[in-house]
Amino acid sequence: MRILIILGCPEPPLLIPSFIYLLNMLKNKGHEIIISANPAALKLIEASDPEKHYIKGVGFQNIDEGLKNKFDVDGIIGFAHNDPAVNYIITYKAVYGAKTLALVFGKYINQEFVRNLEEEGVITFTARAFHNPTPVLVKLKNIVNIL
Amino acid sequence: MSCIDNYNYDILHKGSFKECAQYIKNNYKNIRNLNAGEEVIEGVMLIGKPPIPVAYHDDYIIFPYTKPCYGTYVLRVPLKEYMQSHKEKMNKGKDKKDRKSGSDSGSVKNILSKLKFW
Repeated sequence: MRILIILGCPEPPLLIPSFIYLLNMLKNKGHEIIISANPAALKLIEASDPEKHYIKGVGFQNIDEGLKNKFDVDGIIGFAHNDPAVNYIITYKAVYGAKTLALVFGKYINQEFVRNLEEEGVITFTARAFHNPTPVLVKLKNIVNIL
Repeated sequence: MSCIDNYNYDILHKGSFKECAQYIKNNYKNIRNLNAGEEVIEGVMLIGKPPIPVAYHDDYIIFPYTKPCYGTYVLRVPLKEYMQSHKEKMNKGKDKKDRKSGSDSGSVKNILSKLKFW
């Protein structure tokens, strides 16, 4: 399967490590991965894996460019911790028309984010976490299982 | 590559997407509701939960614009620039059609060539 992963603002400390963990899980299952992320997030990913053990063969694009260059994907996974990320996930679902899963996380779970995503048909998970990635990793395993 | 920096925009309001959509609805009469992902001016896609309000007032187009780290803004772009970008888009569309007729088989290749790979 070709999976698109959406990363918004990389401000939460757990975001990039959790993404690498998810990438590893998906690659081990034989999926093809493409990332749509903001430029700072792409640089952080590159810096986290200097020898490209995890990111080798992974496609990447700017989060805005991804809305212009549409291609076929089998699933979309989005990380949402703020209002723009929720809006981007909803927009990607509308543009790509693929099954979309989102993980809403943060120090506190904003129920409005969850409601907005679910109203647009996005399968939504929540994890109360900001520094410690463990709750997010548990939910990511669930997400990978239902892809 | 074109983006919002190519336009002379004014920022009218900043907030969450919901607040920005409400701002447009409250302050303008001539509103069209568009879907997420539609290209409002060349190179600028609408981002947010549909229906997304886009207003036309005097010689301006007013729409919500989202940045991943900074939130949503209500932007005002002169309609003259919008018309110019629209014309360019139409011309480009024609060129693309001409080119497409000869290269349909390479569509998968084209998709991947737009992406970069590590």
